[in-house]
Amino acid sequence: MEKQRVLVVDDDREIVNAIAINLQNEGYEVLKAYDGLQALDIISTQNIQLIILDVMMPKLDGLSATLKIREEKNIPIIILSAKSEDTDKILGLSMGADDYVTKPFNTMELMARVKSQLRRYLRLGDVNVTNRANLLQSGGLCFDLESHTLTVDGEPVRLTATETKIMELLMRFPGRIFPAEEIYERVWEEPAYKVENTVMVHIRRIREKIEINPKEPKYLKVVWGIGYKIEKI
Amino acid sequence: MDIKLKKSKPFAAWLCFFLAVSIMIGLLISVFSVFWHSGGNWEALKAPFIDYKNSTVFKQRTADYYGQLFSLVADPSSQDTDSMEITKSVLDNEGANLKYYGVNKNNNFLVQNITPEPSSLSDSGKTPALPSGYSYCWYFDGEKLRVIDHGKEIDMQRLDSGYQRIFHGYIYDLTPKYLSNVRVVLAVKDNLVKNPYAHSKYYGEQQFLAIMGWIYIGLLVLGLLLLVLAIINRPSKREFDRKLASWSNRMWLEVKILLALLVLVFFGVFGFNYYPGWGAPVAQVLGVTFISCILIACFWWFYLMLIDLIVNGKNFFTPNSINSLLTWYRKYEKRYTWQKSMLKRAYMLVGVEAVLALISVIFVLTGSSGGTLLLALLIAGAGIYLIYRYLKRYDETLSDLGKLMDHIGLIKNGDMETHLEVAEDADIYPAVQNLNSIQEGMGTAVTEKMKSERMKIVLITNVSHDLKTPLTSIISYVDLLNKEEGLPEHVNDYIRILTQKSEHLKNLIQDLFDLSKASSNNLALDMEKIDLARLVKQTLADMEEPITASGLTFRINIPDEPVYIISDGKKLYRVLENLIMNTLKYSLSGSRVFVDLTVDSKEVTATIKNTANYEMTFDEDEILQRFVRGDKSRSSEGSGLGLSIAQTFTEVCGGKFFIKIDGDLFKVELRFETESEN
Repeated sequence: MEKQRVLVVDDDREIVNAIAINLQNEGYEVLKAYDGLQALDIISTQNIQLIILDVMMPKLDGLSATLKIREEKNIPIIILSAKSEDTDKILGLSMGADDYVTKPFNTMELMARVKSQLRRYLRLGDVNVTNRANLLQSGGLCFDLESHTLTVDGEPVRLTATETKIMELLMRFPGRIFPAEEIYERVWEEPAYKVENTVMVHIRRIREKIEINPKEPKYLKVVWGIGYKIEKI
Repeated sequence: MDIKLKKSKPFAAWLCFFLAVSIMIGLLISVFSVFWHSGGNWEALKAPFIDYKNSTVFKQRTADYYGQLFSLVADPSSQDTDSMEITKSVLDNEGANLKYYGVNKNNNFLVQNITPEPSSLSDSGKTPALPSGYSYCWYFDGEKLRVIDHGKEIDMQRLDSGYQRIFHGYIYDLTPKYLSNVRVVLAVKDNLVKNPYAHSKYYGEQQFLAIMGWIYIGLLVLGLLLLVLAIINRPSKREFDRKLASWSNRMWLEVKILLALLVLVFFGVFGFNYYPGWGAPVAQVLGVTFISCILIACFWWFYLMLIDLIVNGKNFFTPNSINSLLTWYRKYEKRYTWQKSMLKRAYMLVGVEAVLALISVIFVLTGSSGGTLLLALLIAGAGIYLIYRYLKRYDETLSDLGKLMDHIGLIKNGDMETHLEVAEDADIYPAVQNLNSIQEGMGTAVTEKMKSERMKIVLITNVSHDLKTPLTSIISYVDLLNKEEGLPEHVNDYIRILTQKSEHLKNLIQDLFDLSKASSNNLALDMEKIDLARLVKQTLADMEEPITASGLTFRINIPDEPVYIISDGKKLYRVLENLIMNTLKYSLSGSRVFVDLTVDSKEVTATIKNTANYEMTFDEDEILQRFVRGDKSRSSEGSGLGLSIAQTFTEVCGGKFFIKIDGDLFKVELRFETESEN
């Protein structure tokens, strides 16, 4: 199988090198760029499957580069940024990036995200073919209503019966916030009394199964003081 | 009470002095006046203190009675019925106190209230036989007037007899030949009694003199006593003197001089020209009292001037009309131009109106002719016009002041752009100019402030980026090192330390960044209505694993019903997470942690209490200082910013944050205003 090619863009050469070594260890072919314009050059001339892009760069910053790339290509972009505010993340994702990793990052986490994005990108064709009405989707999450199975970026996830019910409920209404009581009543089908703990335990377990970094969940989120939701992506 | 006494002491001392001196002067004046009016006779002064019968007053009165009786008897020209009745009634007023007998053998005239006639009267040189109880008598035996007291004749020519100035020579106006047939006896009762039918002058005088004696002695004693008191309290008295001086120094010099002159005139008119004469003793006393009062007033006025002069020295002369006028003018000069011009306008209006009024009055008084009416109308017109001009200008100034007020309000509300414009000849023009420049200065300051705030945000962002970039490299390469195999064991140890420390550094930088953003109000907030009870439950559920692992017992007391507040849930989660992590780290193992949520009408309070596993040697303020950690040893992980972040985040999220330390009990309270359910 042909090696997948990843473009790493950062004005800090050492960071680029470190990421490159890790990617090569994982079996990817790595291309390097040190500013936005260079990156655009490489993208237009080479066949690339994924881009890791820093935001604060000379000549052309990461966000503008993302916009330019999205004009033509659909390849996954992981934004790498020292900015860790929610607003920065939302901005990056809305510009067309697929994932957002804050510096300083955990290498393992970054690799997992790279893998996940590539899997999704490369199987995109399959997903499109199998796109049916009984499939619930949010970003890389995909819940099959027929088989009651959940896949994350194409990888199946093993869930217990209760966890499956919870995910089905939340995936039916992405973005809607469910208080613990409602989740309990609809999943356990019993009157809810002091259920916050029970629901939270399940949510936490599901998060550990579907999220790359459960501490900074991408899909299954706690809305503090209100309830739980699946992010609508 | 004490203070009151203390305060009034100078006045009391001064009052003693005042009364003592007044009494002394009064006594002196009365003594002097008695002496003066009795023709330099010291005897008169003795009157109250000796037997009335021996006093000059008694002798004088007896001489008066005797003179009237003698004239009636000896002078045939006055022997008509009217004169006789008058003289008799004067003598009979004395009632039983007086016995008289007068006979003129030349024309057989007889007047008497003694019956029968004293037998011995016919022979000259013999003492008349008197009724018992009457041992003092005046007796003219046809040759000579004798005064006989208890059977002994008094030598009236002697200086010490007391009769020197009393005996009147008119007795001898008639020829001795004629007088040799005249006998007149006047005897006075030994024990003077009250006449129930008329006013006895003898008796009245005796009583009056007796009382007067005691009054004089009493006054003298009182005066001396007060004087002694005043002397004892000299310093207090002087203190009041100074007070008086400062009071009198407020008076214009002209007033002082004028009053002094007035006092002198009074003194001259009444003091020297008043002659009480020999009327009733009561009238005499009243006269003396009146003069005394005037003299005493004179004395005190000059006393006041004297202490004024002594205490104030040169300043005695300073308060005068010229100085006052100068002061007033200087004060006027010192005023601002606008004050001056406003005052000047007011004075001028009043002045000109007064002159116009005067002119019209003169015209009215000098009679009317055809032209006068026209002139009066002209004057009235001019007056009205002047008032109109004045009011117009006044109105302008008022409206300018209004504008000024509005403008100050505008500046208060933050408008630094609009400038106030008033006419250059307006009264408050300089004030407006000043206000405008203040506004400009403030505007500049505000702009600078905003610029520096923006700079701060940029700085925080940049520093954060600049710190994170090298840290990213470090973490990445440490991670690569971790993956190297076949390294010696001690190198692996080093790498482990590097991993730990770089992770610590990462947390530290993130905390610092969050804190500086929050405390410089640059934190993006997502305020919405959240259920605090649920949030606490969620947090505790989320942290179930570390809580269980800690071995601590959590006692949770949270109401089942929702408690709504307006806040940022995610930030509050961080606060609670920090606080619970803190209790996990610093609680005595096996102890209990209490998490309570209590709601009252307006406020909800979340409380976390735990027992510390070390002695808390700091106070509530110290622990909130940044970078202070509970145990002070800094050995454990964490930035030491946990509580600081919790406090700052709570406050930006609209809550209040309190820490209480009581022995080993560590208590954190978060308070929020509750929101209604809708």
